[in-house]
Amino acid sequence: MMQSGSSRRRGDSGPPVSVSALLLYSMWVTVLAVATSDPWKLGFLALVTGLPGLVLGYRRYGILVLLLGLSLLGTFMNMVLLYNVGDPVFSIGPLVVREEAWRRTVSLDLRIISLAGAGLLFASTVNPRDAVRSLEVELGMPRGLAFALAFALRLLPLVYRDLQEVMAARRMRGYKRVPITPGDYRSLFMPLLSVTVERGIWVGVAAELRGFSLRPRRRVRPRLRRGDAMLLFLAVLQGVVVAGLVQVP
Amino acid sequence: MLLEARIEEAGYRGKPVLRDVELSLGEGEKLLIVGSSGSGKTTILLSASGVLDNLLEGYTRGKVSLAGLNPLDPDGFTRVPSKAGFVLQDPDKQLAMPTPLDEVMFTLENLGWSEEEARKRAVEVLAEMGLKGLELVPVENLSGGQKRRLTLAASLAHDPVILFLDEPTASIDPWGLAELRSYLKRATGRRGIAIIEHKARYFLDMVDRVVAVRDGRVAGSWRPRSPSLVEELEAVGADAGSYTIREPGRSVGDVVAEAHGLGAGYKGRAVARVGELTVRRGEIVALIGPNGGGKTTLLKTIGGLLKPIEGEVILRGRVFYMPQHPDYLFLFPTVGREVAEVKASTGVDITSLPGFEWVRSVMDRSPYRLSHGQRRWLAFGIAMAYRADLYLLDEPTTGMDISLYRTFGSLVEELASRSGVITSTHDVRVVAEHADRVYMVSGGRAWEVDKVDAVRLLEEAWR
Repeated sequence: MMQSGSSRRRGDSGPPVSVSALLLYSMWVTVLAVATSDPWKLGFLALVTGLPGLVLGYRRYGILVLLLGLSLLGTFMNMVLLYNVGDPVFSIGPLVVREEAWRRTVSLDLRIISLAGAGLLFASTVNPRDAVRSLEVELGMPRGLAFALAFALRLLPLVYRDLQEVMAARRMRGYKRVPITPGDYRSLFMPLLSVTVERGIWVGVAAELRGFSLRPRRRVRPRLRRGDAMLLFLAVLQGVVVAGLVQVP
Repeated sequence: MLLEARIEEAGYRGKPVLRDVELSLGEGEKLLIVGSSGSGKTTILLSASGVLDNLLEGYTRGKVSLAGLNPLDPDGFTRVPSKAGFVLQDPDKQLAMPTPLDEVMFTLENLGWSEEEARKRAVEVLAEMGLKGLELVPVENLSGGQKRRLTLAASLAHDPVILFLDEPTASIDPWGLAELRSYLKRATGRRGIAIIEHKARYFLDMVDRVVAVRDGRVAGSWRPRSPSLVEELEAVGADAGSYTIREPGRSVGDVVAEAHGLGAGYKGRAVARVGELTVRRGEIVALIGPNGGGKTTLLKTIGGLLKPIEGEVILRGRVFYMPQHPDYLFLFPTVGREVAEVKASTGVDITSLPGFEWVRSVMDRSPYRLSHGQRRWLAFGIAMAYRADLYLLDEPTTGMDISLYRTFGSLVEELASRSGVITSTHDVRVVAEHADRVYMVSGGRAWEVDKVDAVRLLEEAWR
């Protein structure tokens, strides 16, 4: 597994990829996943980046990945409801799933897997302090933006804990354990959002009171690491495929 | 003087909260600011530090000098962190980094320390705060007391001349409180310390001056040696901390829950084991013990939210678990819709419950925008509407002032009149005034203890 900069302090031989390279890679895959709607190209992105990202993410944020799985199922149901036209592809009992619904489901689900996987690849392998340092010092990102991005990583385990509490509370109020309808999802995310926003505001205040505005600007040249070349290769490969320079079936 | 504030008026979005507040803090002085929730004591901190004017949508009219800086001015505010350290109420709303080492280094690097110097100093200050060996442990795995000490370490690492602590007891157990008090007792020298707290009794023996705030104004100022201080503080609405031990003797009914050889935990590993535990209708059972001991895990396992690692739980009737944070229980964007949904699900109109008439006046508001006390109160209303046979309350009095605590007391007694109640708590008053039986949860197991012994233990732990 890729490790970020803090692992150096723990005596490891050094992280194989830099935080900056990982961020740029994740952003690049995100752009590619939004730019194409071809199911084969999206499938390639999902295979190269999405699935590894989900596997890594599952180890730290299992329930979030499971919820993502549920949303893929929701996508299928919506598409069948709205776009079930064309030739039959397969059937589930009395339900005949037709070409348009199946094509849209596959495209959207592969895009979701690619986007989520790219995000989780970054989130599950980088720690916030390394992220602030690398984004600010190596990429020259404004410190406020770098801190916001880094704090989002710190938020994930907290959101995971909040999610478990909210699901427990929903059960007490007689709600389904597995959210299915938009109303279920709203009732799940409303308290999560409220708690997260309040936490974000106060962490921002606390950071300012600890001198965040005084943080000196430091710039160093990005130091490439061994794994960065691999990321570059994968990034180029996916770009080439999405651009159509290499044909996938 | 390290701090001199003459606040004519301060508030949020044009709505005044403070009026005519004068406050000072001298070198080496320890000042305790007390008052009930909503009295304005936290607003004093936010105003005097410049946060109100520079970060929140607030305003301050008046003059403030903080270690020679004017924090109301943006330039002065920017330099405040180099002179002052701040410990906010909830560590989870303050800690921004993944490990204690990163957290302390974040402060130091912000203030211009090099990475090498910052790491060396961070290790030192973490050791001073009793966190040696935990430098690289994920923050999520620290206990409440450890997180509190970490916020203290991160606020003190740069050796500020002023330290502000906002409700430092809100999220810690008595043992964590003892550690905090130990630091404050040891803190001598030039540094001025202002403690904002509604549970005055935890600090009365160590501060030089007490200021009470009521309705946004200073209601009085005392030297803590005053013999009538407790009575005088209670007269202005502050919580000086007196309580009485109620004799157990409530009449109890049928058994609503029992656990036999129960092991509660996660991923196959038990964090708390209890041999036998029985709860009857009409009974309040308190779970006490250090943070991280497994109280919440035990509650959730009894409530069926977690599978027992070993043993069994037998529930006879409906169970309702109330989380520590009331926001988790709200599912709709307005109070009105919460009330309507509860009525549709249970047939109970919360607004018709005794003590809940106020809910009618906030029906259009978001439940998340209510005051902390109102949120907790509404959450209790929702729980009561479900008419459970067993209620599981997770630290229900956290952050409550004396007035809200009294309301809580009447609500929990109402629950116990027809249900069984198990509550985890660090609050000695809950144990003394409401519990019938007490279990200690510590070191991986839970066992029943005598109630008077439990009160004594909680009292001795923090002193």
